[in-house]
Amino acid sequence: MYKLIFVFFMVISSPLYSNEFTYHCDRDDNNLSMVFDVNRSEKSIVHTHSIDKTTNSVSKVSLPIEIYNWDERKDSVWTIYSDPQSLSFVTFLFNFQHQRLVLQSIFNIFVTEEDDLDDIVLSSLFKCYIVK
Amino acid sequence: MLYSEVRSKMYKLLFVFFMVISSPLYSDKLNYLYQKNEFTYQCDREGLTFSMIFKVETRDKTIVHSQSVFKTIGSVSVTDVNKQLDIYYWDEDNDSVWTTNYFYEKENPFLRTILFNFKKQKLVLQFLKNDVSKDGRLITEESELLNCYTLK
Repeated sequence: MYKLIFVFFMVISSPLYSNEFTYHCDRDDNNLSMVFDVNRSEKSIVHTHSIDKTTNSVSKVSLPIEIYNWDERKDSVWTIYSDPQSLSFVTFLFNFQHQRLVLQSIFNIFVTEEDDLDDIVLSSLFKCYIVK
Repeated sequence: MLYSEVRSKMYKLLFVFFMVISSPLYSDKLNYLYQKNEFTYQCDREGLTFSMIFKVETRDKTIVHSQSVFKTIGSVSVTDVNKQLDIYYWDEDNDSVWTTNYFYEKENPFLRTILFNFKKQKLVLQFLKNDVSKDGRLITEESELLNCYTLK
């Protein structure tokens, strides 16, 4: 009986079943990591830290991210964020099921008549893992 | 005597008329009638194989994607869309607008973001689909830069 209770508590306290967890994502080039606090009950995500792997420096961010769509069927979340100062618009797609994060940014900066799309749009793929 | 009374009333009426039409409220209405702040914004893909046409209303801050035009050699097809875009941010300082629309389809829901820059006559179109494969290949993302012009 105690063993069963022990197993039950082990299962519900595992990160996969948790409503609150830390989502740690490493960019494909391994130069940048981003850390998020996710709360499924409250449907909130806070970007807590950014880690620059080239200098090994950690920046504390503590930025709640605006949720655009919480897709429970696909265990995914779309968030959007705009920064008027840098004239940028950032979209995050968190896919908890596949442990991935996609980051897309558009910069409203047109310098010449022949602007290159690569200077205006940036996209990165991160591989992620869940930590309790 | 009668004539001078009529003339005096005429002047008064004229005075009131000019007071009314020069009032801010009325001039605002006149502005609205003559400058509706509506325009058509047409954006073309390089090579002119695809165009998007939007009806923009700067007073109400609305944008409707009215038509899409598909062009191939020898044929042009116009599709009526008439979809109102969700305005995320109307940046008056930079004469730009960010819109987002979420399309929930059975297998591949996707988010479409559009940046309209009316000053630079550009449009950036970006799609993000949620079909990230297990090997992490980014086959889900598309972006385009279109050149635009304004038709008043």
